[in-house]
Amino acid sequence: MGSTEIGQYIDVLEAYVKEYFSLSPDALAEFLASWKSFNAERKEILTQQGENEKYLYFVLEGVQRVYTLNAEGKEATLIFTYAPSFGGVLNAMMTGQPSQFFYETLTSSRFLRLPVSEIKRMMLVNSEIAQMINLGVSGALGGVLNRLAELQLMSSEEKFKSLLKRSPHILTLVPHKYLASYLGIDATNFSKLMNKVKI
Amino acid sequence: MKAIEKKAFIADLFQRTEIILNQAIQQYQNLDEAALTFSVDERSWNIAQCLTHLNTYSHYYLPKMKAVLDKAHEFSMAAYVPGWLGTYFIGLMDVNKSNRKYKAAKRHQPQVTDVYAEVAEFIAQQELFLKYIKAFEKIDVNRIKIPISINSLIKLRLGDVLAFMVMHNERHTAQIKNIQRAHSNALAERAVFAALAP
Repeated sequence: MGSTEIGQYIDVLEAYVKEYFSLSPDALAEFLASWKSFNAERKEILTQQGENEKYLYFVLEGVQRVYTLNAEGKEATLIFTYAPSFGGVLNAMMTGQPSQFFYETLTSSRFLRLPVSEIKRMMLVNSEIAQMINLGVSGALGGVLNRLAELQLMSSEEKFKSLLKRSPHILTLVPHKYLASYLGIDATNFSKLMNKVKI
Repeated sequence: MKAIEKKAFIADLFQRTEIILNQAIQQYQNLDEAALTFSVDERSWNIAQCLTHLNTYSHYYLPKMKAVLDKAHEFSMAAYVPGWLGTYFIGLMDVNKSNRKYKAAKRHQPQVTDVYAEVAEFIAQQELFLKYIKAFEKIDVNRIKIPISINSLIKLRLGDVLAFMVMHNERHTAQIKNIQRAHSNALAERAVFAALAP
């Protein structure tokens, strides 16, 4: 692999899987076998609220978000995804229930993606892959709990600093309103923090 | 007027708006108040005023576009045929054709109260515009007409309005580039004076 474009993308996925999980060579080959390349433009909704999650995504380029809306149409940005990492509405993927959330691109994006049915099939026939998916989803849950702790324990300024420490380039990649929503602070406070905190 | 193949027309507007949005996300939203309010001279607009001016156009035209999209339309990939009046207005805005200046109509004169809010609004409106541009790919942009903001008796083809909006946005983002250049020159000059000061 590596000679074709898709081969190069699979190489990125392979390197990622090897770094974070331990699969035997056979299980790795099976896991990598069926991914397809997929591109999306800015602000494309990949998963609609109320629909099933059809794919597991692996982000190669761009920034995406998982968000929800309340009855008044107010948005809450819950999670950002960017390269290299898995993306999609993971709970809907696992349960097969309609998604409560949207998955949307915030910049033009490039992915690998695999139908959820294929993930489910592999999990049934290959216990290593099942274990890996369980670990991956648990890792994501850990991330969400961490964020919940930050939201409750940190001041706006601390949250802002913590985000910039984790993702220093995010200020030039994503409209600030999504970052403000993600941190649970209003837009006016966000611009005040921009001026106050030395980046 | 020469017809322009629909897919190419939409892709061009999409791409050009994408460039404007990237500039706004990478640069404008990260500028401080001093940079957003620097003007070359008293009569010239600063960056915040340029963006506020563009927002007044979005606030007029985007709801009209949404009203079009909210209705059911026949699927159409018919080529865009520019109207003569639309072509004239678009030409007036093209900085590559003429550097003539115009005074903004009253409703489009910028009243800035919060510079950061105007930048955020500009980005939000451009994101929305990008979605609309794409949605119009499947709708006839010749037959639908929209009254222009400065005279409701004059109507332009939807395709003309889309092309006008993008050209007008580019006109003022080019102006912003000039302001930024002048600002960095002014800062550099000030630094030289400070260094030379006894």
